[in-house]
Amino acid sequence: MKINYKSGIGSMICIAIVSVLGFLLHDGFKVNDELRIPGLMRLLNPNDGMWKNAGYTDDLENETVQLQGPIGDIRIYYDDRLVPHIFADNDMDALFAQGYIEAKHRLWQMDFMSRLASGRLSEVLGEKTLQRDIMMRKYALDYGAEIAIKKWKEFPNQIKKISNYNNGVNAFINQIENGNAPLPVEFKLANYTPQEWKEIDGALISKYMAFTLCRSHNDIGLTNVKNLLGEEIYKELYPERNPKQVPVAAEDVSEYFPQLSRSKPIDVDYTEKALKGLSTNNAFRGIGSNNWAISSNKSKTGNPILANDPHLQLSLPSIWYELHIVTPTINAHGVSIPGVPGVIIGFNEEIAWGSTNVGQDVLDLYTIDWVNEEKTKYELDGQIKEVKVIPKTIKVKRQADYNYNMKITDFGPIMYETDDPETPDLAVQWIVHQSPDYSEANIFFEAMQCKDYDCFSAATKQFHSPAQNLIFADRDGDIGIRISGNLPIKYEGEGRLVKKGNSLKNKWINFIPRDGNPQTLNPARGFVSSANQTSASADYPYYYNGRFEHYRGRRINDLLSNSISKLDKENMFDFQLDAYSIRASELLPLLTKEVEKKYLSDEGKTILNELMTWDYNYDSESKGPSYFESWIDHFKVLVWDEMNVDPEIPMNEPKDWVLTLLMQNDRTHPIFDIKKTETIENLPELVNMAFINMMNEMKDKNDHTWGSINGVQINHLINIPGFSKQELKVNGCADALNATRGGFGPSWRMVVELGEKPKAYGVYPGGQSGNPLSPYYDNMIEDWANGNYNEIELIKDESHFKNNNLFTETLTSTNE
Amino acid sequence: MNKLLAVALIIALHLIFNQFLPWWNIALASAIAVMITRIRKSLSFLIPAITVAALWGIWMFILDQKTGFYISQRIAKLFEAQGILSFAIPVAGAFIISGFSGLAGNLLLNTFKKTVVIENQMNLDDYKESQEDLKEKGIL
Repeated sequence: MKINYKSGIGSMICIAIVSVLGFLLHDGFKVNDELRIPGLMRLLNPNDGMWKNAGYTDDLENETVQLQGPIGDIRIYYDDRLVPHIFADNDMDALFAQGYIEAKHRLWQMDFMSRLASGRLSEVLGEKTLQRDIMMRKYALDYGAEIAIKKWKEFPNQIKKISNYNNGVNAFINQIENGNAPLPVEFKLANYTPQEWKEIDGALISKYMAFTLCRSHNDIGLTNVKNLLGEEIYKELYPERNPKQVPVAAEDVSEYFPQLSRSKPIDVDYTEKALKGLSTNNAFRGIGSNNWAISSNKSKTGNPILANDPHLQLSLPSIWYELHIVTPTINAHGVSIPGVPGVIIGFNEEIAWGSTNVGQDVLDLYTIDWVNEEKTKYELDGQIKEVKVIPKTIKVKRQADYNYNMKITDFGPIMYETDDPETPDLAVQWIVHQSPDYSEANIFFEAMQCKDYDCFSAATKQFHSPAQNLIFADRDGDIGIRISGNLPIKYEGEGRLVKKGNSLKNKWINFIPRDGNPQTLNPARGFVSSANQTSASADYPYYYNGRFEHYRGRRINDLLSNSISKLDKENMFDFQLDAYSIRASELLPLLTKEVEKKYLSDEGKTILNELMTWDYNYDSESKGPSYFESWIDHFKVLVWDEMNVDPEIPMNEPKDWVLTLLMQNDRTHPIFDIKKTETIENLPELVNMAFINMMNEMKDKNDHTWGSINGVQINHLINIPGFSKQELKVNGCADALNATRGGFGPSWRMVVELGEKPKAYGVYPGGQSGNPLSPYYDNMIEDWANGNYNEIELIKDESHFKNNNLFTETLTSTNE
Repeated sequence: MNKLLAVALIIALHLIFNQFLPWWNIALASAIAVMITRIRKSLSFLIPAITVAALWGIWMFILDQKTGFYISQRIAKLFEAQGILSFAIPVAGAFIISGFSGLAGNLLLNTFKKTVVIENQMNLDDYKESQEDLKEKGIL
């Protein structure tokens, strides 16, 4: 039998072409180190490619989905912003439905956040995210999450609620696996599929919030200042309290527990050489939040009003998901973080609540004295102790695994390691690695059922971390604010500097009883407020330190205290959108008065004139803010040259309010001398040098308006430009109430007026759908940028939604 | 007739395969349809290529049209390109993959069809031989 070899070879060539092309178009290929083309045919084919994702989450068609899990029928009505109104006959079904719809709209985001927190991005995104994973693993959030879950399991009722939420998430994942729902776009792009949602995933998302909000510490930077620049500079330029600031709990009513105190151990501070080669990776300027509530007496309508706008990293999909939950015991509306049950910031018929970050320092560092080369044994209280070594692996897509050992000391995990032989490794004691007292995952689900302050206070009292200024108002007129979170009892100054890890006495072990946390209820001034400033006044019995904001709190208090007439919701909107900077109003006059005007060019005179007529409002069309920010930045580089000698030796720069005091009180302070020059400089010289540097910088920029310079952007979580919104021109700056800066800003603006029926207004810079191909992905950004709000009605009558909705989704049980 | 049958078969097989195979089932559908309908030469490339490309183009157009032509723009944004590329890339890919698969099917058939021809040839030879035998024997 003969074969036609010519045809055979031809067919083999065709098969080879199809195979190679098919593989490249399915799996993608690397062009160079920077660019990898994804599998275009896998993504763009009309059967199961991205086209399939069109309209899935917002197809406007009523549907009934049969699932394992619900007890009864759950009705979900989507309104014209794709906000779901969940009607369930019991709380467990409400939790199931929340899990299901959050997965339906935000599954990839939830998966991403869990991976980000635990340092597992490289497993699906490849080597590009390996350094980020390694950095995240240093914070050992998975270690903290496992400790938390162990505690949660001591509360079977609570863990059951978490399970029900997770069952809802997994019910949607099953829908994908069964082909009843398309795989979200980003899974297709990165070519992987979701895994079963477990308790650890939700715990990791909570821990990531703690990473964002309470990892900040000054220990390394201040230790270097003290050890290299001397104690005098340390004491003078780094005071702990700004006398102009009014604390959160201005009229504190917390209990005092005199039996609890802590004295400073002997020889605790690390006083040796500089700590080199350690990246401090602190939180960014701009992260923070505002909240306030006014009493009936200050309100035009006689109804208390609560406002809250948390400032976080702005992203697409947005960190928040808006929803309304109705059960026989709940009627609450607000925003949740996908992956965490309940409404975190919101309101019900009786109360409204919100939060800002506390900023207290709950992360301390300890030097470890290794006694062996393998760095597994260390000296502690005169004895040799062995670290607990946990082998860990980071899987990397298309690359070899990255293996490392996590080492746990008596203080906590080793977080900082350096190649510098004279810099010790540092272990971290961090609240995130401590066991909570309670299953805090459901705290907000419980709080949203409350009707008064006592209930809300009891529900949120056990909140663990990151500590929050939880604000409250109810329709009976009560307003209050409480610092909620686990806060350690410290000796005076503890946690400001790196401590020696040679004794367990150096470690904090006790916590302030929750009733001892600062709190205020119905203060005489008629309002409560917070903006990440200090928690309590000087007479508060427990010492605390941290990273506090110095201007926004003052601005809110000024606006709320100084208003002659009573306030209404419109005032609240104006305050949230306020772009006035106290920082600029205090610093700029001190700069302009030092300028040698006679030497200025015409251009310089124009700029100076712009600055001198500027009203300190960071309007996007104004040029004044751009000139001021550039000028002050150049000025600080010259003033704080002592702190920036060696990039390998991080040192904190003093705060701007300290600089203001220096400029006011001591124009010839030695700090104004530039160390590397032979001459001795003073304040006026530095101001004028900085002005010239500012002018030179501005010459390179075409557009000097603040909107262009500030560059507010909302990036997709993995920075896909086509799925991001960039170069948004919005008002505000980091220290204005409208705290916009780069990729940060008000992530949810909410104003609630309580009364017979609550009237609420809210907006966030994103959209309800996490699907980048949906019109509901970013549809609220324009309103957010323009300062518009959506009106939110709290309607319990289901028939209203039956006639007024985009579409209805009914989840029914297959449990028969 | 064969050509129409091939078009129908490609579409039918592709839609069936879509239920359990990824997009590359267009290659299988094209090759099998060509082999069954025995379309030859350049048509074995062109018919699958045009059929699948057109099917995908129409399919995507319908999906896009349902969203008010929004989805193609959003997909193109991902690649920082014009909306038409959302169509052009998959259509071009489908054209090439299906075309070469159809051609492969035809050539594969020819590879062994030749064998069949040879076998037939041998049979023919046998037949001729037997005819000659019969002539020699004076039967014919």
